[in-house]
Amino acid sequence: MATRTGDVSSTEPADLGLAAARALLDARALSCVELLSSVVARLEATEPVHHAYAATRLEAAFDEARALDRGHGPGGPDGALRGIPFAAKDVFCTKDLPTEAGSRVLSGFRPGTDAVAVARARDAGGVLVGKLVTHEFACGQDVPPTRSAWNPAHYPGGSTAGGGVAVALGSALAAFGSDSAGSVRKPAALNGVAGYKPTFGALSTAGVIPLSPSCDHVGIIARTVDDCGLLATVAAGGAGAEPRPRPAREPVSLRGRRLGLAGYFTGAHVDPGVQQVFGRALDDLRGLGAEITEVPLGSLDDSAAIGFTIIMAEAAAVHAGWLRTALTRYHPGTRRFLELASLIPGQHVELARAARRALTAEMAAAFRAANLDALVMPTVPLTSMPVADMDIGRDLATYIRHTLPANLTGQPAITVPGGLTGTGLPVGVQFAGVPGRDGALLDLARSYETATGWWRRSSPKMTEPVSEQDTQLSGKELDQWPPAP
Amino acid sequence: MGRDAGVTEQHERIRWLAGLAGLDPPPEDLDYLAAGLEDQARMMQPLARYGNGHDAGYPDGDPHW
Repeated sequence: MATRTGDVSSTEPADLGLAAARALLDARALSCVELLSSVVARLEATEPVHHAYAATRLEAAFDEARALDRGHGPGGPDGALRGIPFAAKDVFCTKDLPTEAGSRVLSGFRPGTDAVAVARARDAGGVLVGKLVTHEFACGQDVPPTRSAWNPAHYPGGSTAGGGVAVALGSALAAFGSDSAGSVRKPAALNGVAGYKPTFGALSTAGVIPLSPSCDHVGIIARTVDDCGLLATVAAGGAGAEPRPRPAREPVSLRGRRLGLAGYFTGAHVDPGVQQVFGRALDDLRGLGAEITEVPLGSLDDSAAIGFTIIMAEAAAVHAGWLRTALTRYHPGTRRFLELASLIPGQHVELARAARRALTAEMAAAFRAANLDALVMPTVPLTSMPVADMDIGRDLATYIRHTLPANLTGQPAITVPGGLTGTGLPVGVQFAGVPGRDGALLDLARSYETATGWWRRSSPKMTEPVSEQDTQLSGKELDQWPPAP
Repeated sequence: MGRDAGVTEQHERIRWLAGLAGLDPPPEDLDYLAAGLEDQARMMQPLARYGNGHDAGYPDGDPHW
């Protein structure tokens, strides 16, 4: 069993950030096989408890790592991701692993090709370790088997459930996820790592099983902002067009940077422990010279109505064929959600689209009027909660309340670790910027990250041996799912 | 018929609506769908102000950042 000290600066290769590992590989201080061995050891130690992976390809991954150490394989010696073990949410098509989106509807589906983002990461020398657990079709209506990296009785966030956990535990150095309402940023925040959703359209969604095409984004979970930027640059294909997400090498000064704070993100719905951490984060940002200004954004109150209506209507269209031919193969929660989605009146969809345009316009006007660099907010109003206490119908809207707006406006947004609650659970701080100016947003987030250093904290649970009790935890629905064939 | 009549009518209406979408929801889903449609209608009430052609002055959906 691997152990960790709570500070990644003194631990194993699996705990390295992507950029740090790349530097050691370049200097020949670490081989691709050694790095992968460390990651796989961590995976084998943690999977029985945390269940981050839906499928792995360890033997093939070692073949690729050995080839890369011999100077062969994709990307060549200068590949931006040479030897970096990464993973992808199981809605990303992969040519040599099943792509099942956490659903019996797609049981055994092998698309025979990689999603564009995965293909580009592999072409740059990245080593795909496996596919990560997702809520079924990213709908968020079932309880996946994955458990938090910080407490194996807790929900890990979703729908990229395995992504935040794998990166936090070191069973992957980075992960691709899809983000339609916060599905990358939420699990990243709840597991104490970074999660980045670029500007809408910046990364290709080709080969990613859609949920809501006008809200779907390819996003990245990694230990640091730099790591997110590096993987995003690779996934963007080096097209050279904006956004150019890779941040500057040195942290930029936050002096004079203007950050907007909206009442929508600070109400009574925010858990007291999260409020306390976020209050300290605002103090830190002010101490670094940033100016925090309150901005009126009344349209944010419409976010849930807009988002649920549009996402459900688009999901109904995506699933129309499967609902007719494979209805009984869905998880009951997903099935009911998609049935309801299929009944939403067209006038509601049109009203939601008009309201979405108004929200986006008001957001743009607020940025102009206050000359904002970004909005700042707690990424998730709640901490991770025990699976036994969860009620998806009750809790989902609150979990996505702060992340959903950027999916509606298309703004780039990134979460970075902001500290721990009194009960020792991680809280993320989210920055949402101007569409197309991803680089500036990542620069800002990186400066906060560097100054506060919260990203260095790793899961304390990993310092303890896995107990028999940990391995027997199950959610309310796990006993019923999957049903017998 | 008695007190279940209204529920039955609602279920029949949902079945009919679902049929238009090519779906045949199982009976155990009908209460969920009835409650969900009521929630949806309630949730949309504040957005009614976006009817009557109101579009915040950005008909092309391209606000200026």
